[in-house]
Amino acid sequence: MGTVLKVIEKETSGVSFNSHKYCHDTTDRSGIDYDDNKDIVWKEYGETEKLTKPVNLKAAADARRCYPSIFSFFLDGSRHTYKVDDMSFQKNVYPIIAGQIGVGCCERCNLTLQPALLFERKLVIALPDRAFSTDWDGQDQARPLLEKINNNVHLRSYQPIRFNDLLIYDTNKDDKFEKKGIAKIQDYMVELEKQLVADLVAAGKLNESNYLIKDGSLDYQKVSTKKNKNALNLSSEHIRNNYRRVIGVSKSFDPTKCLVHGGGTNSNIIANLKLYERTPAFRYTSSRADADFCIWYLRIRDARYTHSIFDGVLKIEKLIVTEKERVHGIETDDINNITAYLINERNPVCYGADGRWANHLYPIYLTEQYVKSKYLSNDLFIQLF
Amino acid sequence: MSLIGRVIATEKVPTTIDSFCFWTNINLILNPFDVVKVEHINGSKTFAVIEEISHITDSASFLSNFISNDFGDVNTDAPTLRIGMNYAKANVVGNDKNIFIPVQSGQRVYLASRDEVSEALGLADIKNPLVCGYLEMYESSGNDKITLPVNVDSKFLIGPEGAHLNISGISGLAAKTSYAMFLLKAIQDKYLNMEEEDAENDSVAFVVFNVKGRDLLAIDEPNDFEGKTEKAEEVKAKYKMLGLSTKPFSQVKYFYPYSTKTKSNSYAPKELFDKQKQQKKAFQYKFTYEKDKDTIDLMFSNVEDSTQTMAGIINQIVDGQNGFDVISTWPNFIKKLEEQCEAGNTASSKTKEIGVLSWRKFTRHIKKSVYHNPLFNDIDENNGEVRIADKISDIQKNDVYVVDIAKLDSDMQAYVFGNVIRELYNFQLEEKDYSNGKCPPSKIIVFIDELNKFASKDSPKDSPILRQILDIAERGRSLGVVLFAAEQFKSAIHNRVSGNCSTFAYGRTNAIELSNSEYKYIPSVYKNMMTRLKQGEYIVQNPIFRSLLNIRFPEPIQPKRDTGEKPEQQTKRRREPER
Repeated sequence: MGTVLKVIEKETSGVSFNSHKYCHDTTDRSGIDYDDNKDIVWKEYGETEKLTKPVNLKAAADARRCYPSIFSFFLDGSRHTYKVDDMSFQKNVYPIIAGQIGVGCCERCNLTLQPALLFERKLVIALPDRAFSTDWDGQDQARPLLEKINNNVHLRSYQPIRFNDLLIYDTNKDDKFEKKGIAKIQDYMVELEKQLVADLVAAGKLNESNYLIKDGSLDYQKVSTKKNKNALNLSSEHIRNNYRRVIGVSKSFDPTKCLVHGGGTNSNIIANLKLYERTPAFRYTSSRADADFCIWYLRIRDARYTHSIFDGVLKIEKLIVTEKERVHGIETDDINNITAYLINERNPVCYGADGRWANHLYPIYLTEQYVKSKYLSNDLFIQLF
Repeated sequence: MSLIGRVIATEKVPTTIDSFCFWTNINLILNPFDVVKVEHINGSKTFAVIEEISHITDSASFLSNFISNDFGDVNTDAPTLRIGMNYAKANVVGNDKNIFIPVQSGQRVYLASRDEVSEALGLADIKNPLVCGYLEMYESSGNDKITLPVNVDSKFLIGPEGAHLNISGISGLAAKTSYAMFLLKAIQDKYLNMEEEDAENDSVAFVVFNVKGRDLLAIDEPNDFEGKTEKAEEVKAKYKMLGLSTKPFSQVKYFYPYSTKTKSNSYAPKELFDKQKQQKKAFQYKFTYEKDKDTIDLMFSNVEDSTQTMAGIINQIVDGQNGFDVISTWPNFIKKLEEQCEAGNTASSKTKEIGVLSWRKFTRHIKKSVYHNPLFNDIDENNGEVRIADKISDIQKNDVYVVDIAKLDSDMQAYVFGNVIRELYNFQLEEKDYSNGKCPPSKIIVFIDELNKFASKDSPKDSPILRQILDIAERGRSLGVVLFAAEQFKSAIHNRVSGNCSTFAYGRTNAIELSNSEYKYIPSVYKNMMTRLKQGEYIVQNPIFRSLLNIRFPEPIQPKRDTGEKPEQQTKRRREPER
């Protein structure tokens, strides 16, 4: 048992079982992991023109080839979670989950990517609320415990490794504890992502010529402001304003969950998209984020060359910011413009290096590689415990 | 100096005692042979020479690039460049604190300063320095360009520690003769400027064979650079930078094969010869029967003699058997041979060991070289005619003897060359005459181009000239006979000759030559460079240097003459098979 668990055991009066330590990302790979895994009801048009058929934007994309792309910033957040032990608190056994979180943003200048803003790497540990029995919400006990952990953990390297936060998951029996711990770490990462968007906006970097592509969905879970006073919820208008020049691009989505209003799915429309065609944009109200999104799908790879018919199709999300957009939809010209530039992002590809090459945009892929390159190795991280 | 990259060490490509890799900016121009400096433990610095530079991207395969162009659309432009980097492989040549554990990942890599380059390549503390060229480094890196004279320890080039130089490279592009003459000029400069006391124990003279046109027939004249004064200044500045004088060779004597009005044996124009003769520095050489019959064997250098019959005949002639003792002139010698060839003079005769057919073969061969050749006649000293052997015994320190053999056929070239080096060998073996202020040299440097004609791998094993060259290669270092030889293809040279050379200069050559096993220890990048070397550029190997060096040398300070051959003569020479 490493230093960290010893400290936790000592400070919380828990009992360590010294169980098998593993990384979820390398062991738990069952089933398809969608970027976006929720029911989406195709309710209303999300753009000003009421299109009934897919639109081919190859010509528009070609016309923009000689202009610099509007996409200048690329954001990716990822986390590795680890089950590092099982500990018993008050005669119940709970998993101890740890995580490495990386959120990075790259800027494209002269056709090459370079890091924009400071890279955020956070090391966190998620403990059950039962670990802090003497405290109402555990926060008062968590802070000194974190300090003690950090005072004990030193890597024999150039710089000491420090844990940034202790997260506390509830022990209600509505879901698996392990999932709850992971969800806490995921939420922590999402907050970092939102903060990074806010920082970009504050730095005045985003404008109509400089958009940000965020890897994955923008449909962030709304966070209770009681739990987190600094939560950057999309439901609040001033936070929404940050997302005027931001789009979320999901590589994978569950096609069976694209529901048509009144029943049935729309997956047929997506499957039949021809190369460089986009679906009409529709408006989707997310109860999860408490915000409206304009969503459309775009095929950037010929289905002849992909494994499945849905490979090569991107799901694009844009937050509806203004009331006018909510009522009339986002300007179709804007959506076409964004889409045309996205089509031009189809090359180069990461074929051979990433199985998701058909859905990957290269700058996003590079940003992802950049973020991953900053991680501590799994073995090293697990050894800390 | 500029920080240019960081060391990379991975599981599959670790850093080692011998080498490491480092990444650099893709726009930084480096070249193989450039020296870099790396921070190492205990505040030490490790120096390394760049061997290979590669560019990689994250593309997993060619297919990935094809797909990235919309499955083969050649007009596709991507808004993002594929991420790529340059990395260089460098061979460690030293550490300033003698720490040789591998350099560590992430360490800073810098360009080296002039002094550091000198230290890294082992050029800083060379004893008995003798300039052999200069190197230019970081040429394309802006202000960091370095020009550094390269000195070799003369004891490792012309003895006694190591001797013999081999220069290889294809004709014209490699400038072999020019490089050899540059080195000889540097050596003469060094010895001319030597203190009297040192010169008593260590002195040098030169014997240079002119094998092509009029290449070396005016090496004591200044180069006018075709009237281009700027060019002349530029070249002279380089000589000054190298610490050499801008004057051509001095103490030069020219030996031309004797010619008559009807048969010319030299490409030297009459005016040039007359001028040199007037200055008492040109002579015509001949071979007399009485004094040169001992070297007849050299005429059979390229004749297979597995039954030793030719050797048997030569023995009879040299020992004066069988009536050869009374012969005193070449015509009488030919007559005597013709007698031996007459019918009835068969092997069945008890008194005669050698058959008439062998005599006929021998005679044919001798007549080809000697018959009606003005070179083989008695000497008229009043007319400036000499025996080379006699002149060699008169050679003084710093003398340069140029022996012209350019217009002679291959067999005669071999004969003259063999004759001279045999005399040189004997001269060095014999007691020297220091009377009357004479200063015979302690070392004699012989330069011969197209060594492959005389010491080829295909030469007959018992070839007398090959034996002579092997003697020099193997024992010349201690005797003070140093061979500077050049040829197109080093692989064609007898292994015992090339193996005894301490210094190799590789000029531009071709890929077929480089595929030979002689080059297998040279890294492939350097081999590829050898196919692209410019004129005046050499890759030099010497035991003193810590690595192969890519050096340059300035244009000759003496004039470069045209070949003097008519086109049909050149064609004929080219057709002549090289042995």
